[in-house]
Amino acid sequence: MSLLEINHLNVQYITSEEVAHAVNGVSLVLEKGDCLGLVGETGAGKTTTALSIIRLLAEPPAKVINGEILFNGQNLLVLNEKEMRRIRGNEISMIFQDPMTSLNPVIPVGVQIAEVIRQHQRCSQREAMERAGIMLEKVGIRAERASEYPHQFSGGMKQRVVIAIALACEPKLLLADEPTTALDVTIQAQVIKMMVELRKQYDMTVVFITHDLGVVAEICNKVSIMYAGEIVEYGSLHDIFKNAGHPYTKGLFGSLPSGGKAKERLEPIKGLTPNPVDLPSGCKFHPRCPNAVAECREASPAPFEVSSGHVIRCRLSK
Amino acid sequence: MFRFIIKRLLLMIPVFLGVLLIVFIINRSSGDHVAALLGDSYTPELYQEMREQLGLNDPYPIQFARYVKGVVTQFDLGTSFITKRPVKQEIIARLPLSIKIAAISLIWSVFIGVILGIISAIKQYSVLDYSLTTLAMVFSSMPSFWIGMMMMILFSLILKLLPATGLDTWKGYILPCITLGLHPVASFCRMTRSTMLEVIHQDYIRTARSKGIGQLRVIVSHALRNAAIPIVTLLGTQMNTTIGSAAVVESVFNIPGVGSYMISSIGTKDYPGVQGSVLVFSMIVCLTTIIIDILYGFLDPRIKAKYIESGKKRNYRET
Amino acid sequence: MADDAIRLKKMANGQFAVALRQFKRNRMAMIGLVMLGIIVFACVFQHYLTPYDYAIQDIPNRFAPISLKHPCGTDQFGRDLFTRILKGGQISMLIASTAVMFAAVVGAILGATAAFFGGAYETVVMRFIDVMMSIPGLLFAAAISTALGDGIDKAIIAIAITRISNLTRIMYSSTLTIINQEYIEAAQAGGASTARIILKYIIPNCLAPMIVQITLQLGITISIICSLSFIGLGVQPPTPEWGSLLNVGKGYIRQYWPMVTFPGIAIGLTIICCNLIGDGIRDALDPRLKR
Repeated sequence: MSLLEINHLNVQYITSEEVAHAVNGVSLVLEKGDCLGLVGETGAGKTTTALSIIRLLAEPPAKVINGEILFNGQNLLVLNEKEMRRIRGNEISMIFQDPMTSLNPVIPVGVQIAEVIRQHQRCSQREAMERAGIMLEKVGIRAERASEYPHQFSGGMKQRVVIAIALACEPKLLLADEPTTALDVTIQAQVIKMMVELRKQYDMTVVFITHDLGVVAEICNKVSIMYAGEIVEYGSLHDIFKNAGHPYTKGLFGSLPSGGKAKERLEPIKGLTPNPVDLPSGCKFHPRCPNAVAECREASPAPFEVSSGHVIRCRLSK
Repeated sequence: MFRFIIKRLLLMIPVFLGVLLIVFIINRSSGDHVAALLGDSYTPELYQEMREQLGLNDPYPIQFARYVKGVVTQFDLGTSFITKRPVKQEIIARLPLSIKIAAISLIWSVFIGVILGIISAIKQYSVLDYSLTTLAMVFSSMPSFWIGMMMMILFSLILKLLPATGLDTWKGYILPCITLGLHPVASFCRMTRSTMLEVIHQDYIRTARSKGIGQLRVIVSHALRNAAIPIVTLLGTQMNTTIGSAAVVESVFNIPGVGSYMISSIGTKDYPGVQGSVLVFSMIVCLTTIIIDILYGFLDPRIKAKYIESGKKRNYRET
Repeated sequence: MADDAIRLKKMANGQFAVALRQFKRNRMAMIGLVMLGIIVFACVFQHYLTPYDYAIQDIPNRFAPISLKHPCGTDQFGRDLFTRILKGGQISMLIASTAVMFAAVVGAILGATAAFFGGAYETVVMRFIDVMMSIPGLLFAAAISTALGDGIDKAIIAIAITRISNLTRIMYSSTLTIINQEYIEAAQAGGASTARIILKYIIPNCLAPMIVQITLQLGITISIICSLSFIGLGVQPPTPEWGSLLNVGKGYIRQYWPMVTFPGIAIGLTIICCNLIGDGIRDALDPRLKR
């Protein structure tokens, strides 16, 4: 049984004025030990997907229209709040993008780590604080700093604290929503390195959301490319980086400056990300696709398995 | 921590001196004290003699220094025109009652106001939220002493449930304390509501939820701890305005506190009585401001750090 | 670079048009504006609106029951209460608005100069403001009144002095924010004089928070002048200022309730309108509340 299985998830944001189709029929499978890179531009629906897994969507205006999310065979979408709370922080953890605002400014960091430990495991405050100290050491912060406040830490260290909180109860699944985007490049490298080690140590399954293909290459073994709320291509790291099939994926790689080919011009994808309120008909990428044909406007292409485990949603990949 | 407290106390001294200066200026501008004190026994010689005695012929800075010394060492707030005796006797006798009424009013208004504000924020856009917000708005616009009189008419004169004036029984406290607490409770409700709404949308609340913590704990441990800071600020300003309204409310309900003493002094044109009362009230406000600023240090670790590091004063009293 | 500054200022003017539209959409604020308009109109034109004179006594008619002839009853001398309330509104609102205007001008100058010139001057001014804020508003006004005496003009001065601190604070912090902006540096680099900078850049941009504060202070000031007259200072009978009407009415509270009820309603309604308008202006000028 796979650790995580999402089947045909549809999520919309419904306000009095309009309906935004954020996630449209997303399906993916994650085995234990995988690190899935969920790649796409801002607005592609990656964060919404992750929030749906851990059920932290703001329920109005967000609404899960249909679909199921199976975690160890259990459908998370039908659990009640109390059951879900037992899972959050304990079996599934999430870390968010901006470390500067993710920590409560008036509570010492050690207490914030201890809080998640005490929430899910029976132990005294003192024990929890001790274990919080151990977690801090694991993420590269001296345990004595547990009594300090978030404002006394730099951005990179704050993110390490956030990671310590997420991993304190040794969750089976970690959802990481662009954890390094807000950090300086050098700090980013440190944090990624730390995450790679921790992943090995804890044998953790990770969904790593990012728009940065470079980061994906360092930490992930599987990649899913998201566009306009759909998964347009997924496969192993090798499949995507060496044999990208979908025009969007190829476009993403083409937009990257590459160290070796300094003389060639960058080829950005023309056009803009579609507005989730007003999505194109048929294949959602067709307005920007250099290879689009008439059929692409009519109907959305079905997923096609190009090679074992490598699936593309494009009628031209056949 | 200790250093922080000392620093705060020291910063209060110039403010305190400033208040004394203002009251001093007002005191020396409010007519001829000597003539009023002499009253019928006025003669030119006695007048000059008394002026010498009271040191009114000395240059103003010396008079001020003497005034400050008098207040600080002997708590000398002046001599009443009417009774010819020190004003402080009357004020000190009445002070405990005024403090009691003000304290009861503020305590209940903080509790109820904050709780109502939290409920309003959690159930934003509900009927309850709208009605509470409107009620708060209406109550804080009406003069509190007028609402007090309306309640007196309703509960004492028409329904005969509560005594109109006087504090013979505990029932006598109900109307004045409710009246005095009306403006604060409305302010606390609105402030708590808007602060909670802001705090609830912060990222660290999302982090707390992702840990699997229940709604109640999120609100109390995380949201409220941060919302407490502006609420405590408000406590400081409400102290200030409540003490102002206390004088009027005391007069409406015939409560023998410092406030009604001040008002009767106004009626008898006993200016030292008025000025002495104002001075005492201002001192109470200064004291509570210090206490609240120290409370900040406990609530917001960033403030304590800033204070100890730079020694600069951060002011949260801007609205 | 100076052109950028001027363009930014033009954008700010456009900002006012946007704010005005936003204000008009705010139903509660518009209701407040209309109601206040009605109240002001009624008070200003009291002479033409009611058949009674506010000062002439009519003893046989004292404490009349509420009727169409006397919608608010009559006072202890038989004078129509509605007429006296309207006349009183002239006085209360005149005192309040004059006091606030006076305090706004003084506060603006003090706050702007303190922020702009800094140094010892700034420290002294702001410390002094701290001191003034330690004295409760009503009591401060009462104390000053003891020094100045009774009468409308004295009341205006006494109250104005107590309102200076809030307005100075607002002007001070707005100015501080603005002078740290880059477009001021740009203007100075372009050779603009201090006076030009103050007139063309600082004042227009501080206008918004000041206007909000002025409107809100209006409500508070009306409350203070009424409270002041209520306790026997400020304006005294027979002048029918709202607070003094309440003061007189208090003496008759047991036998004739209209004398304390209706002036209070007038005060409350006026202050509610000021608050609604002030909140409306603040919401309209808040860039974060874009719909």
